[in-house]
Amino acid sequence: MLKLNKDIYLTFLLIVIIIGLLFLNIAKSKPLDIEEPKNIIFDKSRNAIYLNSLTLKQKIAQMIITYGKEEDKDILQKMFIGGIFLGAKPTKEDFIETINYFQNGTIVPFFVATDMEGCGNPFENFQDFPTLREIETKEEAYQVGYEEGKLLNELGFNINFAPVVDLTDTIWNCRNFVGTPKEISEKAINYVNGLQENGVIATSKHYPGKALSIKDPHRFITYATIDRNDILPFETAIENNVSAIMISWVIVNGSVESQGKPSGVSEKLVSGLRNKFTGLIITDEINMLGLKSYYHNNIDAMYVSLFKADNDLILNFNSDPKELYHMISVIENAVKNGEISEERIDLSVIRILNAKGINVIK
Amino acid sequence: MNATKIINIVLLGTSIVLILNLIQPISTITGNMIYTLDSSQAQCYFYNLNETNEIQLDRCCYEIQKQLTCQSMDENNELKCYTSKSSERYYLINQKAFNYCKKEGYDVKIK
Repeated sequence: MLKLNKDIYLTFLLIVIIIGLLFLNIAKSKPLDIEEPKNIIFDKSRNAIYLNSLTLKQKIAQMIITYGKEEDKDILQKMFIGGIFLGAKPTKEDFIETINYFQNGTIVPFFVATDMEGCGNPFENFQDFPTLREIETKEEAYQVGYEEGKLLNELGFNINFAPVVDLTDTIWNCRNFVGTPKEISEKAINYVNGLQENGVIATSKHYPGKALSIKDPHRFITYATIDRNDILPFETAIENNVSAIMISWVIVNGSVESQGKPSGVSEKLVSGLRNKFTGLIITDEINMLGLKSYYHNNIDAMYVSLFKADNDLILNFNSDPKELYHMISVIENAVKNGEISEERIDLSVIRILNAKGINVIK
Repeated sequence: MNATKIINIVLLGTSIVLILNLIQPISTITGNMIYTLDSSQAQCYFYNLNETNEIQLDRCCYEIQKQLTCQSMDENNELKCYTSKSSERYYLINQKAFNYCKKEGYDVKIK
């Protein structure tokens, strides 16, 4: 009798535990509940936004570009995420429809980005372009940049994560320009001009170079020695008003030093670039193992380092909006505890909004 | 074994599953298990006209996500991922690489 009672008590206890766990699981799986960003004051007549009307979370969110999944549109808009990246689609109409869908209802439009390097052309299903490697002259580079810019603008894109200005590409063998460092720099800047004349932001990448010359595909953390030639295409791009530069995860020494850290989280390296470049500084995608392995998967520490360095835009293609929200919360705490200054966040947000053609009232 | 004991074992099992799901979603745990149990080597190759180059797995997932779709090939359980069906540049990955990209949360599409 006593034994039977024990079993029944255990049954009841387990049922209570299960009910508790069920509630916890339901709470965990609940979608993010974020209010519409009604607090944001936007003066349409001046095409200006009041920076102080943004919450800290909204400012941080504006510094993120994520992968554009249509089912996440509402939550990305509510979080006030800065931009979306789109991959290949079957037709022009599919791109236009998707981009309109995302932009519809935004207070501040999303950056809409893609990688248009020719080698892995997302528009290949309906329009061919040469790869950067196939471009022979600087005149041709301008023409290709112009044609690509025209198409990107027509579809609704406003950022192209191109051109690659690394001097070598031994991995894909088609993503970079070929020639001497001077020729590569000239082709790149002509391509940039063609793009930017169509209102599309060009991105010279991957600073400070040698990101596409890693021989061993099974090694994730990579090292390179940078020389003056590697830097030349970036310096030429800066002199010629390129709008954005993307930073790699390669740990570098030589002409540019990253203090033993992946370039994009090296405060010394990013600040060094910031001192000579007033445009947007964008990170490479942050889920790559070249970065994650360095942090031994301590993701929160990685998030803080990304924002502590002077990056303006962080590419986080994690498909879970909850993880984006988590990243925003981690940075918000880092600002609140003084690890990152809000002024530093504000400067990036101002650069981003200005690049979107919006005036900022402090 | 009486009925109460059997019920308790079932309830205990359910509790464990719910606890695990709290730590990490069951789908992720299952994905990790499938990936770990597959003893083959994850492979990803980029075909550029007549050249073939092996691509780092994480970079591969990042690139695969940008493709229009991945299509299953009959032979060797491989997937061809491309921006256009007629493209002369495409990725060829094995099932293990595909499972890795899925479990890492990349939005890889399959036809």
